[in-house]
Amino acid sequence: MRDIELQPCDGGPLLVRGARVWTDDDGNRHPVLRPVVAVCRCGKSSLRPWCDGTHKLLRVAVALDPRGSAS
Amino acid sequence: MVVVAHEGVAAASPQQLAPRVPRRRGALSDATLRLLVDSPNEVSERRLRALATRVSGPVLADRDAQLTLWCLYELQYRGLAHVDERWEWSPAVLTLRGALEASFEAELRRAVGDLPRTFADVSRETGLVEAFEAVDQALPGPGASRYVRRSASLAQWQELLVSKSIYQLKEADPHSWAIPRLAGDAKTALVEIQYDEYGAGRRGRQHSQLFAETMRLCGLDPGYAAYLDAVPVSVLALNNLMTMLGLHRRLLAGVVGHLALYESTSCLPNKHYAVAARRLGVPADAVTYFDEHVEADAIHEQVAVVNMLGAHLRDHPDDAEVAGFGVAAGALLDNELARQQLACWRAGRPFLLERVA
Repeated sequence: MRDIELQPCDGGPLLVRGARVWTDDDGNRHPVLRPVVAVCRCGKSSLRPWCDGTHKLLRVAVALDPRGSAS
Repeated sequence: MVVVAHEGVAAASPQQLAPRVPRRRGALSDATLRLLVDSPNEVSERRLRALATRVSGPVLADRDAQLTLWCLYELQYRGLAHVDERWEWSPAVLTLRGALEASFEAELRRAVGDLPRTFADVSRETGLVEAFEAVDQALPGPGASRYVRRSASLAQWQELLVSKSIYQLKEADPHSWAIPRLAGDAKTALVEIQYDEYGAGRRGRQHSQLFAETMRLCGLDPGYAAYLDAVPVSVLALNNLMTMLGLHRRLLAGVVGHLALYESTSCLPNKHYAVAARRLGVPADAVTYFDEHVEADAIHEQVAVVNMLGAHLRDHPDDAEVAGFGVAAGALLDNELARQQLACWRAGRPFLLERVA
């Protein structure tokens, strides 16, 4: 079992370290090509499942749910 | 499993060469560069020290002074072609550099006023994200990336790349000076960012290499500092700021703050640049750099602000004002450059000093 570290960022994405795959809620498997990736939690990123910084433009609080799992 | 061959060494790329000595732009750069093409000797060292005593008055917007400082700083990076490497640690060079830096830093400190203290107060009382917002509100950017997205012509796009190239072809290097000076969690976070900047172990994926490829595909010379003669003083000043912050240990928190500023203000502009590149019809591979930065900087922003700067200020709370100086001075010079570019482009004038393509 690999050590996977999850770091939720205040009002921002979930940082995931040590994963090889991020599986979203629809079962799509996204290969992880970096040592650390930022997973979108605001649902508005154009690069989902990855964060693209869009959460900073949102004026209202959004549900911060990463919707998926790392492996 | 993907097997990647690492055999074979490519021929030296233009990025690996030291930049040539630039065209002189005034009395100080002319005198300094004339002395540097000789090997260090007593006479030339005495003359350099004499030049240092004549540095007076403002240097922030003086291209001659900023070009001189850039060249002296370059001795710490890759050197200048045909300039003796021993000049790097010549006390006379350091004396002249110190005189230019003293004026530069004093002008920057006057220009940012109370902002470093505001940054420190807000970061302590509310949080770092709010401290960055306070600087952004005091020094709002002019929205150059939105202009580029919607309106930039191909010639203006090339001017943008050339303006960025002085830094982007050594991307991440000025902040790497901080690695041996940091300790603990802040160091771990900085190296996590820099590892990605330098390609995360993947050949050809250094951000500076991706940028060079973007330049080549957009019809520009990807050589390191190839366009030094073409860039206005505002470009030189923001590059010199990064190196000054990086090379002085007393400004360590400043270079850490500067990197956090860059990482937290880069995602959305790069998204605009990617749209502009596609609108202008540049080759798809030339857009890779900008797409990469949207994804990478969304990660780096969190690591830089929370894990790096946050950890450093937790361990060194008295450093918050120095961090605020790096953030505010960085924002000030970035905005100044963007304002000048916009003014030129909206008036249909070139921003650069020379035609580049």
